[in-house]
Amino acid sequence: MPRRSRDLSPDAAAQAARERFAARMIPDHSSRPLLDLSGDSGAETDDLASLFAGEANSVPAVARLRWRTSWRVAALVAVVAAVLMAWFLWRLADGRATSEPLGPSVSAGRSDGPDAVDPPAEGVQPAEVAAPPAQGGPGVVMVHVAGAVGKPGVVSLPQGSRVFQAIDAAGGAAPGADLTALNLAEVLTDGIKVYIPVVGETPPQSSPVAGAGAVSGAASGTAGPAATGAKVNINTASLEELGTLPRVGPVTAQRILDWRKEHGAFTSVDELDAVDGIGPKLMESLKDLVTVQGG
Amino acid sequence: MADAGAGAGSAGRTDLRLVPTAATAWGAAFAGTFNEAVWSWAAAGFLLIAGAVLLFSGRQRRWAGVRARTMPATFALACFFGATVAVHCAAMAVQREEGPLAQAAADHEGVAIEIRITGSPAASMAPGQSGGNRWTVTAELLAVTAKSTVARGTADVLIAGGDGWDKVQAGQVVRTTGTLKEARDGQGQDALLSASSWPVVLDSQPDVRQSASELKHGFSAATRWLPPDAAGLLPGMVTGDTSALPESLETDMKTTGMTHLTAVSGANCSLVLGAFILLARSLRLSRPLAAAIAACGLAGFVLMVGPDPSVVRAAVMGAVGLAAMVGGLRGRSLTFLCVATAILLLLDPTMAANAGFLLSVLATLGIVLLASRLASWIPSRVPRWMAAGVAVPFSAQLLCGPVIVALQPQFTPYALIANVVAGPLVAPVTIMGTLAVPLAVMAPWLAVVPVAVAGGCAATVAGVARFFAGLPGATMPWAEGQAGVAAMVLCSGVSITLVWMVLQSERVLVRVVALHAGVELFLDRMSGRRHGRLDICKESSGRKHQWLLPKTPGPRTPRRTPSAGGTQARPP
Repeated sequence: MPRRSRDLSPDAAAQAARERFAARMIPDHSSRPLLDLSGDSGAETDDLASLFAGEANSVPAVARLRWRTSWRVAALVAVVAAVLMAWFLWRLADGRATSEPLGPSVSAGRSDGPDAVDPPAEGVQPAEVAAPPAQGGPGVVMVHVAGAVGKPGVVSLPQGSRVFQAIDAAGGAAPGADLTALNLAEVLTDGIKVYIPVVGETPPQSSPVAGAGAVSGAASGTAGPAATGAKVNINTASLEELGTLPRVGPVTAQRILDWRKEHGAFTSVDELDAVDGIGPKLMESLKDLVTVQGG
Repeated sequence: MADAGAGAGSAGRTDLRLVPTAATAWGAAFAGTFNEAVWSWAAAGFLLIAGAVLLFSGRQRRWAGVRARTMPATFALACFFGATVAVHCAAMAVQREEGPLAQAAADHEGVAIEIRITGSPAASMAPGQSGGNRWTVTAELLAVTAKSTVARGTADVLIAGGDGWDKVQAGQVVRTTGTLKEARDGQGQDALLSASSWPVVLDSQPDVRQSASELKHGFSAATRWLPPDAAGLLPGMVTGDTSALPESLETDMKTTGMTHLTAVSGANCSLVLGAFILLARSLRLSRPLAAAIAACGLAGFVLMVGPDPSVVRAAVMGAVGLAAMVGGLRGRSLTFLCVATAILLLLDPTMAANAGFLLSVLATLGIVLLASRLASWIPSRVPRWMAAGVAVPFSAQLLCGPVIVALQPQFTPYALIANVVAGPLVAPVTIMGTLAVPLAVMAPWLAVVPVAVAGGCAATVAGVARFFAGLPGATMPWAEGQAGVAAMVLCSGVSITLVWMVLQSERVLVRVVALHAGVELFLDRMSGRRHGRLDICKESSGRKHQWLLPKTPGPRTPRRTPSAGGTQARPP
């Protein structure tokens, strides 16, 4: 029975030989680059393909898979993984939170019973409270310089400094700053914000700028400090003083004091919004009546 | 890694060695993002033990002299990598559960907080209750004051605030107040702060992102003279700044599946990288030098548009995609993709739950696996660049389709054609626009020319989007949830099969014949044991002529002659 008994192996070998020959002769389409850049732009760009390829693709893409890895590679990855894990753990241990009680200097402004470090008599009267060291100490004013300056931010200056000094301390006026809109000779008050507009810009008088209680650069020079004096300083005011504000009853005033006790001094008038019971509407009406000075 | 010894013969093989690694990393990161720290620790321990067992079993077998490369080693590698990702997840979860903000966030407390901004503000979808826009920005914690305690430590906060928060810049130290909330599952941050006051800038440190945002604003300003569609689209296509994009155009882009153009995507980075390589090679620089210049160029591009996580991701994926398109080594590009995915997941495990990352990986996978095959099916009469132009969006669309349907349950029949039509215009917009970005700041009058060219192309892209969105049936409803995803997977499978059948009709014939032979063999095997071979049955004389009759010694058997009466012939 010749048909049945014919051996398969010579046939298979011949088939394999034929396939190899065909692979050498016929260019393989399946592993050709998708964008064959060598064809269109001359000899120098055919390196572009081989830059990524690394080696020539003459071998036919037989559907074979690579699954096996040398155990050495796995061991190497294990070592790298151990190092990385150690780093993550070290960073976790390093970044542990540290917490400390709020310092007395920051919570100044009210006599509170449990806090024994706080001198009890001092905080009640706003006039007596010295600016805490964190705020720069006495004889120093801190102002917020914003707008067209080199380095917007909070700068601290000696008492009695003028607006132009504040601008210098904040990195100087940026090109395009409209300095004529400001009163450069105005004396700075602590805790105000100086906004330097760009040429053509209208100073944001009406916008709820942080620390809007005081001069806003272009504000009429004499009115600013005078108005500030009449305002209630929420960082130092007592319960009674806060009660004089419109629509602020004893409950809200106590909440303001509690907030001050728990979170430290206010840095801007807007922070009043965070106090329970003071909503956006009350905030609007209070904004022009309170100020933030010292701490 | 082990490729060095593999030699030239391995070039055609599909390299799957890193696929388990990428899959394990993704699984560990996904599970770790949504679960508590305990589970991540447990996963890390399990994976470590499994890896060690696999490694040692593989090694012992090697000592027995079997082979140097083993399958267990592949899986051990995957386990070790997955364990590292799980440890990272666990560390992040511990930070979230025990960090400085944990207590305050759990109590939804009002706090005064000092932070350093680390991202750029993004407009959040839902406008705030007070009417104004809401902005979100990422920041790192410096100090938080709550309940008369100041806590310091490392933590990431996501801040949501009203007006005023759009002005903050990366690198600024800001003090504000607000209410802390716990971050939602899958968010990378430790807590969410809804700010109740304006940010007070205490200090400003130089940061790359500040200059990046300045460049972006400068470029947006330089494009303002263009018609509104182009002026809105151009900054989006070049720097990912979509603030000026008209609402209606945004909807139309969504309808035509072209939203990926309005962000810094892998395509942008591929184009920039490719342009740099071509430039360097045309200057006859050596190959390593060209590669280095291209890498520096891509890094510069990333710095220019701001190194946000999505941009870095896009840059990595863009490089992988370009390597896949130009290199033509399918196996090798899959390795690149796996390495990129695994390392990105190790650096930021929260990406595992990020739809953008998933889409980005899937699109690159489509380009790696399908695009060159698809292009090779297209007959060679069609120019290759055109074939590639169709194959790349089609293969990306096939794999991204199910995810897009899960995000937005509608079917967009024109997505492919719109992307193919807009495809050739993306390159000039990206290249010219990228060129114009530094020019717009340094020499505004020089930037007019590239802005005009890019703006013209961007206007055409916008026109394409508007045209296809205006066609009837541009959006069709699609099933939601699991059913929709399953239907879309089916739809993708059917469409790729149909395309194959149309483009490769002769192969279809070969396959059909092969399938027939297979069925025949199968039936044969099934029935062969009991009832003999399945064979052609036809009327015959009862004697097979091929069979040689044995010449038996002795008297011949008398030949049976059919009788004249005509009895039926028997089957063989």
